Amino acid sequence: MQTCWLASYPKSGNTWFRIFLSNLLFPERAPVDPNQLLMSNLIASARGPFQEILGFNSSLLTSDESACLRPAVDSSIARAWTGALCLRKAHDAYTMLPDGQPLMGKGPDFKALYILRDPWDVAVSAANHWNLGFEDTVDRLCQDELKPHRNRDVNEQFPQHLLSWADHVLSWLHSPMDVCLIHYEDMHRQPLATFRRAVRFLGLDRDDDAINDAIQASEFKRLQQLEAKEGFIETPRDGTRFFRKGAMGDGLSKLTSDQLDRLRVQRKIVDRAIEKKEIGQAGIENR
Amino acid sequence: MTLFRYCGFDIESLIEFPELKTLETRQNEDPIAVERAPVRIDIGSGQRQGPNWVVGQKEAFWWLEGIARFRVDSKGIQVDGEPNAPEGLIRALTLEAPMTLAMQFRDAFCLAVSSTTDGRDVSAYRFLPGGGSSTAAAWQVTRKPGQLLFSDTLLHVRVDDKGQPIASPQGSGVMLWPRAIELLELDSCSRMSVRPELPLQRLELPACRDPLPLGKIITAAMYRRLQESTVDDHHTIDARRPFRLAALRTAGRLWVDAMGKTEKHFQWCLSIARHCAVERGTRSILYP
Repeated sequence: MQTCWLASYPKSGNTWFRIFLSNLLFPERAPVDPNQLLMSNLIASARGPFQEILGFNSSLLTSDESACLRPAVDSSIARAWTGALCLRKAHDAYTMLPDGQPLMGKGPDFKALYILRDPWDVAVSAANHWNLGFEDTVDRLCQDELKPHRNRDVNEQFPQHLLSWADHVLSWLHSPMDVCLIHYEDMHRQPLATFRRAVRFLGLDRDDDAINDAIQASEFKRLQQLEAKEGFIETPRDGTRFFRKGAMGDGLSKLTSDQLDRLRVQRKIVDRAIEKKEIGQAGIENR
Repeated sequence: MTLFRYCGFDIESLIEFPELKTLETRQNEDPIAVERAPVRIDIGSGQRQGPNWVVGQKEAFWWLEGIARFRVDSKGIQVDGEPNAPEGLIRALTLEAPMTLAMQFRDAFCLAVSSTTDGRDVSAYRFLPGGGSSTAAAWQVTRKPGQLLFSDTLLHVRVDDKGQPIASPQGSGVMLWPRAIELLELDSCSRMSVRPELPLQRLELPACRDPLPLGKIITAAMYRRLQESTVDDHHTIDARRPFRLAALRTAGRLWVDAMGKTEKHFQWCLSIARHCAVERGTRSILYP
């Protein structure tokens, strides 16, 4: 089965989209409990399936060695997938392995739905999520290099290769697979048109009423209330919220002008590439 | 030839395993033999194939490109390591997938869990891979009086004549990363490097050497605010269904069918489900 990556830089609406999709696919259970999503939560960087499919403790490997084995694991997952839609969350950038093969595969076995959010809003949300100050978070969004593995511990996911915010976006738009680009801001401003395009790209046959119902069931306010009341499995630690604001333009008032300038440079790189149609043909087709 | 004890089995090996306790005499009749030998991956009909393994009813192959190839059957394991591969890594791998396969050929199954004991029964910690179950087990041993280490990665569980699941100690210490070693103040503890490229260390903590009944499996997502629900693998698991937990957390579960052990594995899961409690881990239980 073809795998569709639901790709985005962290804190760009990936989880929100999967909640929407759960509500769309299982309307009889809507509004779904985000802690028990009815669709797979299987992120590309998860250790669980890696260990199960290859049969050993992944912490025995260096991060490069484990990265080289991930494509084989992804292919195995796709082959064994029994659901109607093999949609998997991914925060890794589209990067190449030392042997020249892509970490995240290529078409036609893979395609990607990419969610792009304004980097200043990503920064504010990510700062909360990563427990960093704004300056450090902006540094991270502007950093070109692969983030080095800390090598002091392991966690449930392999180290994600994020690149800078702009390189993350462009790496996916240039990738050799069909890419549908949607903007987080459009998910707020023009929800029906935006979600409809994503739903069509995923090959799902759902009418506008069904899409609208799923959008209503996935309202941000409801998710915030639920998290406050019952908690959410992806909340990074006590005292923080995963569904923080979901707002547009929050970063414009929170960040310094210097921080905003740096992120505007990132944004300009992406906008210019999209305007000049330098991105992959599939990305342009699906805009 | 040296005799070692691992997961309740005797290992008769030409390869030294400094991470295991040696035996003077055999404790059972039929040890698992481990030897170095050239291994050619042979994919025959009726075998099931994965990205790095081929498993049939009589033999299996498991490999990591550039590091080692293993041939496994009911008698034992043949190890064919690459000349430049770290010895510690080859040994650690031998004690994981190939040993799991060798045990399965003998109708023996393991849970992929860390565990400790209070001397009466065994508590297994079942977290997501990389989720800190080794740290939780080490925490119990170092901070809670009377607790001994029982397993780190593989917990062999057999079913006795009364249908009771009996666990055997793994006997290979606990593997911890620098952050956990620092947190638990285990800097002075006896240890060995697993491979020179990684700061992962194998530590020797006070450990149980005798088989004991498996008492409970503790699952956890305790560092979130969720105290009442738990996430297991990629599905939320109902803790009232320990059968599913045992089945999902069987080491090498993808090989069970290919070996023709489905029914035996089913009975094994059933025994665990009948006799073991499943608890949701909270901070107070896991990190007293």
